[in-house]
Order: sequence, then C-alpha cells, then structure tokens
Amino acid sequence: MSEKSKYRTTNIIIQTILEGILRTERNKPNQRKGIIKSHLIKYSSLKTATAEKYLAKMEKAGYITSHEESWGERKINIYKITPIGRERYEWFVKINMELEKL
Amino acid sequence: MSKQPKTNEKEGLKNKKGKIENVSILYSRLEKGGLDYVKKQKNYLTFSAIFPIYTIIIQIINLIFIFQLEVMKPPVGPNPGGPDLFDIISPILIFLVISLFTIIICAFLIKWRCLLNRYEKQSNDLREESSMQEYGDYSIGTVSLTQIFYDIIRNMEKIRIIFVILVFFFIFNSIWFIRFFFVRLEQIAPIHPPPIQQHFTVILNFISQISLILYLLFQWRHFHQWNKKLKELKTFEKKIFEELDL
Repeated sequence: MSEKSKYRTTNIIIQTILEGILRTERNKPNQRKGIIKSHLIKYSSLKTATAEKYLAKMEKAGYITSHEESWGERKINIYKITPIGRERYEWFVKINMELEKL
Repeated sequence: MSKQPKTNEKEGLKNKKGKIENVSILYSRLEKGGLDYVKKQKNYLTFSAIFPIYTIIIQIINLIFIFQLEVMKPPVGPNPGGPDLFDIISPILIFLVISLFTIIICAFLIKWRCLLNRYEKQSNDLREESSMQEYGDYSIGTVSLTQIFYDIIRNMEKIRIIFVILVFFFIFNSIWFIRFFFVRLEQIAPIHPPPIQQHFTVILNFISQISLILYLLFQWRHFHQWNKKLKELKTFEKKIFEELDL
C-alpha cells in the first residue's frame, strides 16, 4: 500500500467512527450520550477485529472514551467523543468545505 | 463568603448546559455546511457537463458542413480535392472524446445524487427511530458524510487527470479550427460566394473557441483550489496517522 493510500484509508475509518458518535448524539440530544460498540462497528462497516484495533488507538490518542454499562444481564461498551475528537472531525469537514467559514 | 460558591456553581451549570448544546448542534452545523458544499460540487459538475454538450453540437454541425462540402465538390476545376482525412477525422475524434468526458461527468453526477438522496433519507429515518431508542442503531450500508466527502475527492482526482488529457484535445481542436476555416476552406470550398451556412458554422466555431478559453480558465481556477485543498488534506491525514501511532 502506498503512503498516500495508507494515510487515506486510516483517515476514512477514523472520521467515520467520529462521525458515527457525533451523529448518534445529534439524533438523540435529550437522551444518554454515546453509542454502543456494535452499533459503531456497523456504522463504520468494519470487521470487528479491525474496528477494535482502531477504537483502541483512538482511545489512546484521546479522541474517544469508553465505559462499560449493564444491559440486562449483558455488559455493553459505550463510546463517547472527546473535545479532541470533535475538533479533529470539525477540522476534517472544514478542509472539505474548502476552508469556508462554518 | 457563602454567595461566591453559589455563583460559581450557577456559572458552572450554565457552561455545562452550553457545552451540551454545542455537542448536539455541532454535527447539525457541520452536516448543513457539508451538504451545502456537496451541492456546490454538484453545480460545478453540472456546469462542466453543459459546456461539452455545446461543443458536441458544434462538432455535429461541423461534420454536416464537411459532408456537404464533400457532396458539393466540383468534379473538375481548380478545387477538385474536397475535405481530406484530417478534416473529417478531427471533428469525429473531438466529438467522441468530449462525449466520453460528458458521460463520465454525468455518471459521477448521477452517482452523487443517489448517494446524497440515500444520506438525506437515512438521516431523517434515523432521527425518527433514535427518538424511540436509548442508543441509536444503524443498519449496514448507512451512508456517512465522510463517505460522500471521499467520494467527491476520488471523483475529482479522476476528473483532474481526464481534464489534463482533455486540454490536449482542446488544443488539437483549436489547431483544427484555424487550419480548417482559415487555410483549408479556401482550397476546398466551391468558387461561388460562400453560403450563409458557412458563415453560420464559422461564427459558431469562433464562439466555441472563445467559450473554450473561458471554460479552461474556469477549470484551471477550480483545480488550483482543489490542489491546495488536497495538499492540506494530505497533511491532515498524515497528522491523524501519526497521532494514532498506527
């Protein structure tokens, strides 16, 4: 894989994950924040192993945070976006909008 | 002394409320701006497809005109040759190349329109569904704004390459125009005064050449902006890659 496509593939995944969290929070402003891990993986159209690798890296970089919650008898992982993550997504959209004012 | 913490608490609550509001409106704001930008790109593609259609029409008129010259050529006399292969092949070649360019742009336009319609429909459906769920779910194949942006980038990178090839054909078209109407026509046209159709064809071709220059300038400006944007995006992608330590 060339350097350009390596950076691009990574960025598509990262921005899609950030967008998935933001979009979910927009869709339910008055409810609990965050998105279930399985829903986020579905939104990003990734294989579980690949998604988990990226989610761990993003958490380490401070883009997202996660916590475990009880869902009946099950445990679910909830992901939330951090201010750094929001800033990175906003930056990405701004570049695409040809540096116009948002 | 006791009033101070209460004021701070109030301010803290106010800031927290503001932050929550910011989070919920952030995506809407970005989505609106992003979709406006996508629509602007669609307008650019529509304009890019309209001009070649005009050029295609001109090439058809040229071919009809050349065909008439071939039919009308005198069997004997000072100009017995009629149009040569270069005279005929050039408009056909330009017609084919520009038609292909237009078809590609139209295909991109149709694809974008479908993608955008799917995004907008899914967005409305998701909002309705999410209001009933504690945590919003997504079906496989949900279109994301990121996907639309990268689709534009990929298409624009392709169009940029096709456009460079097209510039060479436009230069070829200009050489053909000068050669045919200012050199060849005098040699092959019948001796009697040129018919009104000849004037009409020359004028249309002249307008086409002027429009071509303006079209090229417009495209050059567009791709200049795109080059700047792609450079910035590349830097951003690299930064993200490094931050994630992948």
